Order: sequence, then C-alpha cells, then structure tokens
Amino acid sequence: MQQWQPPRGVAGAMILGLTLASPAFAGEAKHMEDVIPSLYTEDGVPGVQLQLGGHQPHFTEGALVELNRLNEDITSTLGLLALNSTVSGYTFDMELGVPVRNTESFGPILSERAETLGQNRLNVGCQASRADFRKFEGENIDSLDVVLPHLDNPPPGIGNPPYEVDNVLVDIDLKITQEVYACYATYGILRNLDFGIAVPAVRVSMSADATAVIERNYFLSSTVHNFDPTGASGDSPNSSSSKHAFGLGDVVARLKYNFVQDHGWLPGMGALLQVKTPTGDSKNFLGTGDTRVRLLGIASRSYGIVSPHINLGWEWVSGGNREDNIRYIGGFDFRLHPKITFVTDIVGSYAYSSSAPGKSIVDGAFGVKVNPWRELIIAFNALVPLNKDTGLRPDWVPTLGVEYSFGGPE
Amino acid sequence: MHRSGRKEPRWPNRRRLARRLLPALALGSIALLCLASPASAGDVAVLMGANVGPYKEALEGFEKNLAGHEVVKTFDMDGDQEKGIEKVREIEDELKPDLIFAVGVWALQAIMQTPTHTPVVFAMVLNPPTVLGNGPANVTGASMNVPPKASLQRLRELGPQIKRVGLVYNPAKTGYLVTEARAIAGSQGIELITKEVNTPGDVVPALEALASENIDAFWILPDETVLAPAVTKHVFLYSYRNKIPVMGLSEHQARMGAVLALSAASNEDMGRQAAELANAILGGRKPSAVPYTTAREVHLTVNLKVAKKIGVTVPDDLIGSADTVIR
Repeated sequence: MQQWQPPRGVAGAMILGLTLASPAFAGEAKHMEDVIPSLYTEDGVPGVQLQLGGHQPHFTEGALVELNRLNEDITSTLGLLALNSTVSGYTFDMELGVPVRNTESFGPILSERAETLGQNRLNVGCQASRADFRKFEGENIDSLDVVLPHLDNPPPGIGNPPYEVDNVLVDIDLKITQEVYACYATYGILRNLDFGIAVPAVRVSMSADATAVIERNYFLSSTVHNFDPTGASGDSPNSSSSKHAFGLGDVVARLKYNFVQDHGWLPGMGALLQVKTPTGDSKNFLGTGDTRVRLLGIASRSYGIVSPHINLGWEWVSGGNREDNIRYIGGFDFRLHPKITFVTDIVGSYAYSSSAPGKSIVDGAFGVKVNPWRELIIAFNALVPLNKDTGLRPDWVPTLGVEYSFGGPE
Repeated sequence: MHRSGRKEPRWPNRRRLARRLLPALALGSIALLCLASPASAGDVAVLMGANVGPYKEALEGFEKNLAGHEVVKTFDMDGDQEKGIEKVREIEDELKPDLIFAVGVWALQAIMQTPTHTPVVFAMVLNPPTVLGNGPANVTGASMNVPPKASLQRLRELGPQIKRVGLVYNPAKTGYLVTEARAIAGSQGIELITKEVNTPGDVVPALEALASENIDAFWILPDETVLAPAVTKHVFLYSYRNKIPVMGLSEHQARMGAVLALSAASNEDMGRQAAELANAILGGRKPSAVPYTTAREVHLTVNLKVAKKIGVTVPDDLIGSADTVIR
C-alpha cells in the first residue's frame, strides 16, 4: 500500500489551483491567476474526477501552493531602466579656467549613477521589454510533471480501500510571456535632486495545456479508474486554459539625491528612494499587488572613458509575506566612441526572510547606448539570468529604450 | 477787478471735479506702479559658456545676491562661439536687458565679438585682460584669479630663505599678471626672476635656464602656455631634482608635486561678487568705474609629503592655516 505522495517537483508547487474551488471551466480563465487552477475543474469542482467505474474517485492536490510567488516572479522580473542623466557635456578645468568636453560615458542602463540631471532639466523616455519565461526553479515550464495522489476516502489511510494507491500523472505545458511598455520622466528639482515617475503598460499571456495518465498501482485499477476518452462525462485526460491581459502596471515614483560629486578622490555618492505602487491588476499579473519601497546607496566615478558604479540597498515589501530583500548592482560603462557607450552590470536581489522560490536572483546585463542626435539617446539592453535554477526565469530579457533631455539654460 | 456787465466765468462742475481728481488719479497710478514693480528694478540676461557645475554654482550665487533685480532669461551657448554670438544678438534685439551676466570665458568672448553698449558683468573668467584687451568701458566682473599678493605672501611664509621666486610666462597671456606681481613682490621682500616663452616647447629650456639663477621657489602662473600637461610634469621634475618648492594652482597640482597651491575656493562666491558689481552698476555706477575683482575666498593646499622629499620645512603656522594638508 503506497503512502500518500505529496506532489513531486516544482510543478507540484505550481498546481495549487487544482485544490482551489474555481468557478471557471477549463478554457478561458477568468483571471490570469486562475489559468492553472481552472485545469480539470468541472462545474466548480477542482481536481481530476474519474466518473466511470461506479464511484467518483478524485485526485486532488492538498497542498496550497504559493501561486503568488509565480505572480511576483512574473511581475518583478522585468525591471525598469534606471532614470539616469545621460548626455553630460563638460567637466571643468580649474587651472585653465575653462570647461573641458567630457569623455564620460552616457551612464549605466539598469543601475544608477550618483549624478543628477541638474536643476530645471527634464529627461523623458520610453522603453519596451519582453520576457518569455522558460524555467521555474530550474525546470522547463513547457514540461512540468505533477503527481496527483488519490483522495484519502474513509476509513483513513491511503490504501484502504486499495484503489487509493493509484495516482494520476499530469504533464503540463505552460507558456508565459510578459511585455512591458513604460514611459517615464525625470525632472531636476534642484541641482542635486531629481524626481522621476514611470508609468508602465503590461501585456501578459499565459496558457496551460495538460495531459493526464493514470498510474495504476492496484491490479483492479481499470475497474474503477478510467478517463472517458470521448469526454462525454467531462473526464477527458486533456485540459487547457489560457488568459491574455493588457493594462496599467505598477506605477513607480523616484527621488534621487546627489550629496557628493567631484570632490577630490571621493567617488560621486547619492541615494535613491523608489516607491512602487500597486496600481496594476495583480489577479492578471499586471502588477505585484503590493507596495514596494526601495532605498539604494549609489557610488560612481569616472576614470577617463571607464565609469564603474555600484548600487546597494534594501527593498521593503508590503503584505507581510517576508519578501523584503537586499538589492545590489555593480558594473561599469565605458565610452568607446563619443556617440557610443557600452554597459555591463551584475544585478541581484536576495529575499533574506523568504523560503519561497526565487529567494536569490542574479542576472547579468549587457547593453549599449547610442547618441545619434543632440540629446537623443537610444539604449538596448539584454538581461540574462545567471542562476537559472531559482524562481521563474526567461532565457533573456531584451529591452529597447529611447530618451531625450530638455531644459536648463536655453 | 470786475469786468462790467459780465459775470465772472465759473468752472463747470465737471471740470472742477476733474481738476480735483486728476492729481489724486496721478498719485494713485504712480502708487500702483510702485506696488507692481520695485523702484530699482532691472532686467538681467545671462549667457553661460556651457552647462557645467561650477558655472551653475556661480549663477546660483549671482541670482541669490541680485538685490531688487531679476534674471529674466538664461542662455547656454554650449561651448559654441557661433551660437554664443547668436544668443548675444537675441539678447540685444529682443530682451534689451539692463545688464548682461556672462558666465565663463567663452561667454565673455562671444560678447566681445558682438559689440554691445549694454553693461556686462562676467564671472568665472581667468586672466580677463587677455579677453578684454584694452578694456571696453561697459565690461567688468569677478575673475577667478587668485590675487598675486596672496600667492607671494604664502610663498614668503615658507621661510626667510624664500627671496628669489622664479616663473615662466607668456607675455601675451599673463604679462599683465607679472607686471602686477612685480609691483607687489618688493613689498614682500621677494625678487621675481622671470623667463618669457611663446610656446609650450620653450618652457623646459626656460626652466633649465632658471636653475642657474639660484631661485628659492617656483611659481606656476595660470598661463595656458605653461599648463600643457607634458610641461607641468617637467615643472615638478624640475622641482624634485633641484629641491625647489613650487606654488601651484590647485589641489590637483599639489598632489602632483607642488608644496603649496592656491585656488579660488568658491564658485558661488564669485557669483556673489559679480552680483555686487551688478547691483552697483544697476544702481547707477558706470562699469568703467567698477574695477574687476579677483577671488576673495581662496583654498590653500599644503603637501607635506613633497615638502619632506625636497627637504623643505613648512612652518606650523602655514600648515595650520591650510584648508587641505596632504601628509
């Protein structure tokens, strides 16, 4: 007699929906968060129910799994480009008393540098990113295996009656893509204080196709456990569900303060305060559903054409789910040509109190900024997961952005 | 005397009323105008040579200290002389301000190329006579130059052994400064030993010629002929080999090898100085009667490491008065 098996592997962690009482029939889910729960759900009853054979056995997932972890993984994977000042024209030679054309780069793409825009300057831009998610906790999401044990009918104890030792094996092909289109603006309130706001529009598509087979561990299993291949009774081994959503994402507001710049041997230093508001519909994965406050320390300095930078800070997440995390970015940008800057970064976060998937995320970022005309900057960045075995991860996230700076003296 | 048969004409009521009201109306209008704008209001247009931090600091100091006047518009010529000249014309033709504030040498050069009668006050300009030439009557300002007296005084404070101070200069760039320094040096008990150069290539031979003149210290002037990077390296090598202390122009030069360095300490204060000059001109004084100023806040750097290497003892008083001490 087999003991009840908890769901194996990461897919077990994802198929919480099979325990949720979802009113949605398999097909178009009501919300994005219902896509997986609505698999095999019939008339509001979740789980695989094999009605042929005289009794109504059913196979359920007992554990309530953190679908929100998946939600957060989707919505937090795509970060916004840093709201940096980009085209800075001059440094100043005190000995000669003249400005000198700057060989500094256009600045990093994902991280912040200490410099601010300058009073009364305005920087506006838009960006587009796309992620095709491929892996969850190291497993391909297009082939997730779930083992659904039989419900423990009275009397208690799996194996009594003996047909309870059968399992249903489900193979799920999951597809998740997310696109973020964001526009942003940064304004220099003071010489050393910037305010910025970013408004994203998010498009998410999710589809799940599942195929189930019966793992027969009881020699008379075929007398009680059978799918109806015609599907007439609703017991098809196949089920699918999908949802597409498009709408406002989580709006982000930022303040950046530069408190040291060009002071002897010290690097430029600043601080960033960022607030992400829960304006996106979390049920459809357009937002995380929580408020996040991030405080970052920034240090950067230019050495000719090379400019290293580092950001280190902490993010508080509302909701009490112990999602608070440490954030870090380090890298450098270098100006190989007056009109072209290459950028590379290591980007990471560590949710120190969390036991959910995706506790530690580390990505590599590689990008280029081009200045084709006046203060127009075109940026391209590729974010590549470096530790793919944790959280929900795409193969890569490409981002394209344009921005322009105005203002200050005419 | 009454005229017979004719009544004295009487003012009609409306005219009487108007005559009584008119002065009141006039006074009221004047009062309204006074309320609407300050009595001593003057419009100032700003031309910045480039959008760079020190210039912005100077502009901030200027705006904060402009008493009763207003900056109506600020232009950035972005280092482009053509654009600067265009902006000056725009200022003259469209804005017609009471005063132009030129921030930086490029802005001043653009104005000098566009003749104007509008009073001009500059700031953040080094060696203004090289730009102003004979000195147009409508231009004055706050230069970045450290007063020669301050440099010579600090050199003298190194010790009584500092009697002969050498310097290399291009007369076309800093001849005026050397003339001024010569007039002051005597009172400091210092004799200036000078070598003239015309190109950066002439500097090293000039330095070597100075070595035979038994100078006690070397003074770097803010002269671009001498300040080419390859040349300043030779200056510090010369200092090291001959054990001669150097007075430099910046903390950076002190770190490179100067025992002492004096530089303008506050860009914002230079803006303030310019505002004081602007207030005087807008208050009625002629620019020609307001001489340009030098930096009144200076930053002294002392490099004790270099001093030790070349065998120079820096007095404690001098160390104590330094803003930065490199040990």
